[in-house]
Amino acid sequence: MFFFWYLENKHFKKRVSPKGQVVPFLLVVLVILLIASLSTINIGRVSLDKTAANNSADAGALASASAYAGSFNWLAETNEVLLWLTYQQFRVVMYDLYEEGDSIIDVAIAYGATAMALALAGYYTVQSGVPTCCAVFNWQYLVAMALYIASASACVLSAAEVQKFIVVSSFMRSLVDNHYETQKENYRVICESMQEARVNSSDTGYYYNFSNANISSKLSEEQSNQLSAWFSAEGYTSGSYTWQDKISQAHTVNASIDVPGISSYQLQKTEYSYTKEGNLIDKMISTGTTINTILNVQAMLLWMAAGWLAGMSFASAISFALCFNWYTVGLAMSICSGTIWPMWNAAVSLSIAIVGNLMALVAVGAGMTYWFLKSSIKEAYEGIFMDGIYSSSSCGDVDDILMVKISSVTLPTWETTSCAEQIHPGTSIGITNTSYPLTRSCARATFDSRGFRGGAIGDFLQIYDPVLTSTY
Amino acid sequence: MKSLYKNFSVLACIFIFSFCIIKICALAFSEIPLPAGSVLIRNNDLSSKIQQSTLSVYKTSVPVDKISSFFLREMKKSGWESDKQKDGSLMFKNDQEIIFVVMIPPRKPDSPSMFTITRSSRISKDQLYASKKDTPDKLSFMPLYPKSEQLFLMDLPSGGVSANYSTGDSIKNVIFFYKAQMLNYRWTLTAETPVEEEVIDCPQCKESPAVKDKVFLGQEPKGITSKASLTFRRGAGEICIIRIFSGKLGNVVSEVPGLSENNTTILVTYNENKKIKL
Repeated sequence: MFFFWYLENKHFKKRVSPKGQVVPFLLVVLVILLIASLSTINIGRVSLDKTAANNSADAGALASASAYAGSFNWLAETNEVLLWLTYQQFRVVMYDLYEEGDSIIDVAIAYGATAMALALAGYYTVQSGVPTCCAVFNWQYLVAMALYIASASACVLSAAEVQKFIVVSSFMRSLVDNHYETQKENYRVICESMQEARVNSSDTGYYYNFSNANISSKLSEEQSNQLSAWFSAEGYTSGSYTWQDKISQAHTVNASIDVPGISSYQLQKTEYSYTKEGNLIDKMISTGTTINTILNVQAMLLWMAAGWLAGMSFASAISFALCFNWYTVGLAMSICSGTIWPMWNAAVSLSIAIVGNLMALVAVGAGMTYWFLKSSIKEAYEGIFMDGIYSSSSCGDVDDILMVKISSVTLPTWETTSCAEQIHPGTSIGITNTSYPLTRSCARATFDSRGFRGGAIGDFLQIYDPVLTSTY
Repeated sequence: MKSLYKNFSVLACIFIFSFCIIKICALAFSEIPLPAGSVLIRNNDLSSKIQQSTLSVYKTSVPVDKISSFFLREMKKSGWESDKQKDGSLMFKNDQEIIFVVMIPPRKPDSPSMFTITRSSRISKDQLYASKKDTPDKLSFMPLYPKSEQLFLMDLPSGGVSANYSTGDSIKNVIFFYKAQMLNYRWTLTAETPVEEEVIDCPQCKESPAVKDKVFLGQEPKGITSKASLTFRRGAGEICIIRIFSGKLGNVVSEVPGLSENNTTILVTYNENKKIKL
């Protein structure tokens, strides 16, 4: 414009005086200087905003990664001191109970076998002692009685051992229930804490993002106070802050923080599920209870049979004594051959049958059950050995496992991302409505600087550190 | 002179007492041999109401297989009975203690190996059976079943109580009692496994007609096992699981005393609302 004006007015040169000819040049220079200074101010402001965006993005990414790394260190620590130690405690007590139960069953088998042998000996003694009248004392009944009493005592002792086994198995069952509920609750708390930690890390990122956005330098004193109140009220979690300058133009600073959540937990579990382990121990208890009943009933019947044999021995002794006197031999014969003696014989046959068959019950039921109990308690102990991984995608999703500890975690990425945007519509010096470009910057930071990207948790030496990885 | 003699006697008693205490402590906490260069990185006390227990974590440059052979060799020399477990861990025991050694292989080739040692006192038989009583102890959190005998009452290592009772009542009566009475303790029934019966046959029992006809009413004799469970919850996190087991002979004449009696075991597992310290 000035150039054309100069060309059109060249005639000034041809005129009289050269005075004032510098004015146009001066005007041109002044205008250029003004434009240059305004440009410098603009470029400077843009540069400052860009730097602020960079700083806030870096600070947000690093702060959120740092907070999250702290949470992962807590996770590794808690995994060991809560889950792993609880399992160790459980296992040690289970071993103690297994060993105790195993030795109890050995004793119960020994008593049971003794009871069986004595009852069978009594049975054959009675069978061999055919009632003889009247000058013979049937000593076999006395011997059989003693054998039955001894057998009954062995049955009672065996039943008492089985009762102890029930106590041991019951405590095992309680331990399994207790461990299941405790670990489930521990895991739920850990899992929910990590979800909370993710939110907190994100909030920390936002806080540092906005704190480094250089907002306060652009604000009046009153606006600075409002900004402080906004920070105190955790307004930064909204991700955006807007204010107006002196010419009522809106300025905005935006922030975004992305902290990856744990998508799944790989849980180290025991070989047997909670249900399988529980059912096995339940079967031990219920079978033990049944065999305990059978042994007690068996002992009671043996005592009864022994009582009958005692009565028969007494009668046999009386008839034996009566046979030696001519006056009483008739009475002795009547005892032997009358109605009482055959009735007693029938009762003895029945008692022998009861004993024999209940021993068969013990042999078939308890004999196998003893071995079932012995093998089951070993199986129950070995069922809680670590074996296999269960993948859990939600905090309550551990319905049927006995948990050992968290083996590893899966995340979509091991980095936090922070972005910052500075949006300023124009200059605030009131000369012109200069438009500034939007300045945006993003940064990434890892919370696992050692690169254990497999996600394995629980290494006592593992420490999660945050490191800024890129800014763009 | 008499005073000197008295003082000497007191000193001698103190010396003998101290010697015994030191000896007992030495026996109870004897040193565990460790592979060369092992560094303790953590020590946790796991003791509960029923057991003294510690867990120690070590790191070492010794490879895992050599750690394993080291412990098997050295612990045997120290008089421990060893037992390699199915899961690869090592177990050592004596009458007083159990030690579990678990190896943790290095995650990276240049990382050290680690191993954990869990050392626990053993649960004594006295601890297990001493709580047996004809009259059960009163529990604050639930009613006691009337006419029952206490077989067992013990704290659980992770917090809670395990109690075991025996009664001659039927499983159905026991279930009815707890369903009605637990309400008075503000418990809510949240899960129930109905009574499941299992029959244990006795093939040889029916071979004798006399027994079959006169004791088992002409029917096939059998042992009957039943079980059921009730799960109650209260407040935030309290759980009480009542498991009931019953065993009796089936198809028997009721006139023979004791033959048809129930033998019912009640197992109570109470998990308290233990606040986790994080």
